Amino acid sequence: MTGGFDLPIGTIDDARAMIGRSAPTRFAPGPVNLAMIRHYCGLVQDPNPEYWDEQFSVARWGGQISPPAMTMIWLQPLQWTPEGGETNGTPSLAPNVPLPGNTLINVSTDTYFFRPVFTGMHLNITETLIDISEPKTTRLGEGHFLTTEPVYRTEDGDEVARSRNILFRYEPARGAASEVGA
Amino acid sequence: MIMKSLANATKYSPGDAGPLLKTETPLRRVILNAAVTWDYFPGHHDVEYAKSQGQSTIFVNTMFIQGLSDRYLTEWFPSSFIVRRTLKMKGSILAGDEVTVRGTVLDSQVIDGLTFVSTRVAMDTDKQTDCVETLNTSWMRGPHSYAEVGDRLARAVTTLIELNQRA
Repeated sequence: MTGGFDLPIGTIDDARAMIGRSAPTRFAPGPVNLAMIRHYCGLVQDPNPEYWDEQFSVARWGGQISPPAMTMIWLQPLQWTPEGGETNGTPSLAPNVPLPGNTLINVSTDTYFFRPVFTGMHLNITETLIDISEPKTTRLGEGHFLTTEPVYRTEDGDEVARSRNILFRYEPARGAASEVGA
Repeated sequence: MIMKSLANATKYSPGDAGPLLKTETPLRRVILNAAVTWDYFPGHHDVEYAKSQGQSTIFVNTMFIQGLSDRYLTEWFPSSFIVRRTLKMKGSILAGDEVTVRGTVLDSQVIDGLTFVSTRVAMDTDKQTDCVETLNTSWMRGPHSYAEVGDRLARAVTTLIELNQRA
């Protein structure tokens, strides 16, 4: 995939009409698994034996645990399905809120973790739009800060994690070259 | 519930500094970041798109930074488990950056017999000081196995949320 990222364009009133709404619960495309855990730990170069030695993890936790930082990853959407074909793969509620601005960047996230995630679990996520700021001008450009609350649960309904996420949806300032966010 | 401050405890004293961690984010690792986290937002793999956003090149995503912060904490406290992580990005970690990670103990407390330690983790790049900050609370598992603790951990985290909302 190259080029743009399809973001719905709308007005601040369109967006504010969505405050308080939750997106339909999304389900992970597959179970938490050790192969992806090790790919991820290879990325961040995490040598924690809980992720590389199954017996060690089982002794400490009663099962093979997943890094808490992977919680979002298990809920990433597929890029193509037999039923729906190619998707634009927008991974969360915030990029689907109609607003001015052709790009976005994540600014902050605040997450509580209630329990470990184990291999074999099928996670799901329910996201609610909490707030949209007035227009703000930053070094990157002009736009709005969107606050969402994703809640992650197991297939049994146990809450795994709860976040508050703030993302900046903006129109880049011409000639801006300052890097903020991820 | 029993709660008491351990601010003066010798094991986790406010101001204690953690080890220094250095890592690099060459272009290949930023592309690997997009693939491993299944995050195909083009700012993480398409240099021209990143430039159109006002960035100078592609940059790692939130899930990379969260994992790096968590890795730092479990290397510092090997028997810990993160229960809260607040991540604030003042800048981006770009392809080609060198990243230095530092940590400091902020406080500690006991909730329902479980010890929690709060820390600040700061990430500087060779281009920007204080690029990223995480404020964390970790459960110090100590001799407990999770089987012994079970739902007590979830209840303690709920108490932690209530305490933080009141603060």
